[in-house]
Amino acid sequence: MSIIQKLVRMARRRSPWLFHLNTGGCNGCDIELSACLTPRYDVEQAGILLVGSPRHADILCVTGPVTCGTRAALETIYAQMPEPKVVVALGNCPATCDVFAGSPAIEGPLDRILPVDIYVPGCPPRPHDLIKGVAQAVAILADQRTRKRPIMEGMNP
Amino acid sequence: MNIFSILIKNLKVRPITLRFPGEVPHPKDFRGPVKIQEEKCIGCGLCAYVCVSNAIQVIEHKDNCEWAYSPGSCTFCGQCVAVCPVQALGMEGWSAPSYFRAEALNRVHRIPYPLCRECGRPTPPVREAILARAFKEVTLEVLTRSQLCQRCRQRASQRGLVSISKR
Amino acid sequence: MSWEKFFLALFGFPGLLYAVPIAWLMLWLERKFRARMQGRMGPPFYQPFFDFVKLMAKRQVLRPSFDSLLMMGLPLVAVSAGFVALALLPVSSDSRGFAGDVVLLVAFLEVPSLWAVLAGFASRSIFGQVGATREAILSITYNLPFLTAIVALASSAQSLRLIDIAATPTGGVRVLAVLTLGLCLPVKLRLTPFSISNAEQEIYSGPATEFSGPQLAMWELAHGLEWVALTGLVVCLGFPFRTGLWVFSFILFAGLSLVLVIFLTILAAGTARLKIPQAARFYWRWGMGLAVVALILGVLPNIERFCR
Repeated sequence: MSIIQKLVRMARRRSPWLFHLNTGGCNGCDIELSACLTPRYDVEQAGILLVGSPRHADILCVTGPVTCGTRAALETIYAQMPEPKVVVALGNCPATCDVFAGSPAIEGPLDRILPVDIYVPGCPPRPHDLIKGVAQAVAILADQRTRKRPIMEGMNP
Repeated sequence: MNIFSILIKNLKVRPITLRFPGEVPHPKDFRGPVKIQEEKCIGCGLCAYVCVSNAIQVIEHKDNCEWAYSPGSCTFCGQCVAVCPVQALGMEGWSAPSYFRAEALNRVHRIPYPLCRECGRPTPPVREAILARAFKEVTLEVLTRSQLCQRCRQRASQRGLVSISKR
Repeated sequence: MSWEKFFLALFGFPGLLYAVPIAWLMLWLERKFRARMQGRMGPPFYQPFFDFVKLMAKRQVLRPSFDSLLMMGLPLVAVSAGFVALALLPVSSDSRGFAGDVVLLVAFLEVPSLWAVLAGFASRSIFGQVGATREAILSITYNLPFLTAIVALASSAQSLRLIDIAATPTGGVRVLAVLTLGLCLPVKLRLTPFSISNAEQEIYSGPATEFSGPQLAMWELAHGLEWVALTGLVVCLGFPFRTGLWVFSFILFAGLSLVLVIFLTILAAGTARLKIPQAARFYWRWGMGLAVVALILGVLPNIERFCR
């Protein structure tokens, strides 16, 4: 069924839906993400929609170092997203915890908890670099086969 | 009815959106990742001391000094550039690209220690920029003393003091 | 009523073959026009189609707490009801339809919203429940003027067949009733200023929060069919066109529906969301006002005839 596979792949490239999650950061990266929705950058021209429910989303954009209070929510939300999905670490906080490294309230960089596909560096990253990072994530999404990934232990899906 | 007149006006004007995949030029004096000029660095470690997020680490070895920088931890605040006494640091004019695995952007520069003229031991470098800040006038004596290691410099100073006291 | 004409309507025009592409076209037109009014580019024209395909190709997360029969069944029934409602529309002047089919049409037009309420409660999440409650309250809000306008039209045509209703001569009743129906469109389609039940920053996309993949694709398709059916109803009842050629009536029907979509989008882009009491007050004051006048005008000749 090669035509169906090609159609599905094209659909995944043209219609990536984003879910944005702030796990305790300073909101700088969130504002840059909101700037991507403004008329100057307008990610909707690529089909990217910011959806309200993780069950509707393909791409999980995480900002902020993962604080102790948000860790459970992060794992639940990741488990609720249907396959295929990619995780994008926006900014320096989910990548290395930046200025918060060593704090007792931080659960650590994002790759200790979730498998991360793309890191977008910057503090905060410029909107255009953010869009380029998300475009790379969309390319990864389109190439993925819908493989089985383990749902987190003990999480109610 | 003001909003409706704005909406109708927007329909007549072309949208101001940047088309995919356009390029957005970086502004002048954009604070990108930090870059070092190795020939100016003296290994003092002030940049590591003042760095907010431990993105810069200066590790001293016997015959060289490591300047390790991870743009993934950097806040791009520019304190290190401002505080460097020899202006060895600068900031790139563009932002770092996105990457696939952690620590892919980390950089390590090695600043080799020159050898002392008298004893031949490696010693942290003393550059001319520092001498210009420390001395009113950089004489030949100051220059030759700056190429010695710490012990040899102390011995040279003691010899000078002894010769003065003998007069 | 002839079965083959009904099946032709169900699968051809204005059923499956017509409705699904036009639903996607209307969804795209709404997004693109709103984007252009806001000074942005907007999505390309194939966007709703690729959204649908992508959603159908998602793998499900197993949900032990949500009955899978309900989860798959609710959106499918909503989509089927949308198709049947479309098949009943009196688009051209053939003798399709049967006595009482306006009641069936109104019932099937109500099914997507009612099923959204059921879905919100069945999904057992607080966001779904809040969205379902809001949708239920709004349903009471707009149904009063909507049904009163339908009754006014039926009594002025003295028949419950859609063909007869669409064939009545233009008069005060028809104008007022169609205005009322048009007024009820933004809240049925969940557009601002009445997009209370799928308020994204408030309740995480409302009743459909817990649906994913193919079920969500079916909900989006049901929403698109609602667009086609409701705009089609207003166009059929408001603009009677009796052209001989099938092609002309098809073009007029589709074109007028799209013009109505543009007007709704202009309203949606220029207003902000209202609260439920404000929406209720608006519909029970102005909507009911228009509808009651239409009802009186429609019922008066019947009373005269009854008294004679």
